[in-house]
Amino acid sequence: MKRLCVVLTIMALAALIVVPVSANAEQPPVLSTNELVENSYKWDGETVSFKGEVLQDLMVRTDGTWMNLSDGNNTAMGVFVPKDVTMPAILRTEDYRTVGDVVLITGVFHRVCVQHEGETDIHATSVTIVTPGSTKSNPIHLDRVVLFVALVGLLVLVLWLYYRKPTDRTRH
Amino acid sequence: MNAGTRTKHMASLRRNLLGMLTEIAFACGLIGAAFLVSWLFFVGR
Amino acid sequence: MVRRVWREDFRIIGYYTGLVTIGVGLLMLVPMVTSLVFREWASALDFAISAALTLLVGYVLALVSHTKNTPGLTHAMVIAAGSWLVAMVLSGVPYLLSGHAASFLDACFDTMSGYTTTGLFLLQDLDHISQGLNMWRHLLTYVGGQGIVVLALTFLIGSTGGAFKIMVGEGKEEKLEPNVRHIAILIWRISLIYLGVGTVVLGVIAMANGIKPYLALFHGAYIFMSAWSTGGFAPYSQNMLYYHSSAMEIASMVFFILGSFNFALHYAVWSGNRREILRNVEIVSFTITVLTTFSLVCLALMQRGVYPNAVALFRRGFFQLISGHTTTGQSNIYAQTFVLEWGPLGMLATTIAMAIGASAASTGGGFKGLRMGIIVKGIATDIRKLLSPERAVVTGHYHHLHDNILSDGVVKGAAVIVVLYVLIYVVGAVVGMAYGYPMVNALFESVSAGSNTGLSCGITQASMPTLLKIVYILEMWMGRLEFLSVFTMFGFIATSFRSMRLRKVVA
Repeated sequence: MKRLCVVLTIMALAALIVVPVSANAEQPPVLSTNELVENSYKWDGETVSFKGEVLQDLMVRTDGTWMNLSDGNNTAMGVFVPKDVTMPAILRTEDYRTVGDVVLITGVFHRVCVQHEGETDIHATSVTIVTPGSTKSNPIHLDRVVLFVALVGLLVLVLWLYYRKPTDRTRH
Repeated sequence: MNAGTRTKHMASLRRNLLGMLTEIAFACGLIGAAFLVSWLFFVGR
Repeated sequence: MVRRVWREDFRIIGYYTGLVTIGVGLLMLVPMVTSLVFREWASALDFAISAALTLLVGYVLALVSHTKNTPGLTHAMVIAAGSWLVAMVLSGVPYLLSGHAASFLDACFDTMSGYTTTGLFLLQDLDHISQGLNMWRHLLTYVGGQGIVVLALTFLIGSTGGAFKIMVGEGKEEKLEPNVRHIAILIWRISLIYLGVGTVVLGVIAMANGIKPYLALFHGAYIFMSAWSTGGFAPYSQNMLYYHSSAMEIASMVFFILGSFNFALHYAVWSGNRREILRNVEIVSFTITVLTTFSLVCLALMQRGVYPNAVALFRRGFFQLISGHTTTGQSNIYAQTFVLEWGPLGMLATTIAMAIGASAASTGGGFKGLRMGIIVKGIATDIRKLLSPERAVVTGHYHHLHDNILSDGVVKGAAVIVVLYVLIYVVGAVVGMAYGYPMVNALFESVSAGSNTGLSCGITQASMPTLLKIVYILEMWMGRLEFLSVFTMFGFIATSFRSMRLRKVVA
């Protein structure tokens, strides 16, 4: 009897561990551009997740929308959102004065997308906004203004020296 | 600018334009030839 | 037989370098205005500072070295080489102020890459720079393509014989017409007309593809400048992949193919001699080598089963190959894709295409089609001589604007420069390999730098070894100036040291 209780307890504990794990296994892994591109054969055709900041141009085409998501220093991935996939309103896209919305997408990664003539892309099946965008400050530093004024002052002096009448200029 | 120089100017511009079109046509021709090459590689597979 | 260097030589060099520097300073007003238009105030200030500094340096140089003497050939070559270095350093100031340059050397790398129309970059976080800085990057390649020198010529110097010699120092040796100002004006006219047409065409395509109209115009300008100058920069890190548009890529291809042509050919065709485009040795050579290297690329890609159909094979394979062969450097695949999926043969075929390069007297780099044509015909002529009876006179010909005799001197001249290019390609590759990079990759990147192409297989990054950065900078510089100007400059410096020692001994 005691042994039966122990076995049942162990089975229950095992079930508690296994069930959440298999539920997690359904969440497609969030991958980076480098991971996808460097292991393109491995991820080709797989459902993956990707997170990135929406770059400036959202390109609406006849069969869907293209967006480019930046996920690091000089890495970005093209994501195609077909027309039949609901896309939330992307209020902010990246530019000098704006931080773009950070978006999480799930979709199928293509090493060489047939629909898009060999492009490396992700066709999204779901799009959610994770972090809404904001304004960037890009402050003007006082010391740079001072530097500018000083340079202009010197430049004006040199220009006067350069362009004044020939009789004042020493010549060889 | 009298009529003579204007005709010369127009003729020169026309030559320029035709030259530009010739060049663009050549580039397109090369691109087309390359497409043919890639097509042949697939057909011949 | 080395000549002595006198103080007046320094004045001539200093004065004209100063004038070129002033030109660069004025150029910086364009990105400044761009930033103002987009309300990027901090960026506009950065460019204002850079412009003021550059103009200051230029005017001080010109003031201190003021002279009425015109440059001789040696001066011209030193000015041509030296201006590039001065421009490289000062043009990097906006990069440093923007915070996107990891070091001063990185900024110099990027500006040298811009002016030489290479297209490799070490810029950090390209996807987040200002429109002003993007305008500056692309403008550098456009201006570099035309030659900083022609820019200075047009705006600052009267038509003098000295100006012609500066252009010869630049590496563009075509003797079109005796009047240099006329040549400069014509080059600018062809370039500006294409600039107008190209910006509009690419801008309209961008708009049709979903980019907002006012932005589309800037994209059109950037991509056109990048293509025509065979530079290869693009406003975003994904390069041409950003646009997801075959129309954009094809239009760009047309412009960068044309940009790779000899300016003398443009002049001939635009002046009515349209048949020249089919008879010219460079065009014939280019067509043959493009289709041959592309066939090699197709072979490699088919063998590895990289693409599923002809359209994909053409769109990715040909774009990369022709971008390489014209030494442009735009790309519609990731660098890692190129290395891992295309494989060694695909990479090598692209390397060969880059090494051969574009036409002479163009914005492109590499051996140049003219030399390929001359050398191949030279070999053919030699074989004919061997097979002919001893007393027969065999002369080879090549058609470039008109029929030319294939003299031994011409063949030798072509071969010498080709050997020098091979030398820098190999040295760059060896240094890369010494740092542990695989041979195919190291060779590819080295040839990309030396031929001013700009395609990258991933080696070019801020984290790469410092010595390798310097080697690539030197390769880009020497490759663009085709050696003569650089050698003359170093010769001049060496001579001036010797002269100074002589003077001390005499005194």
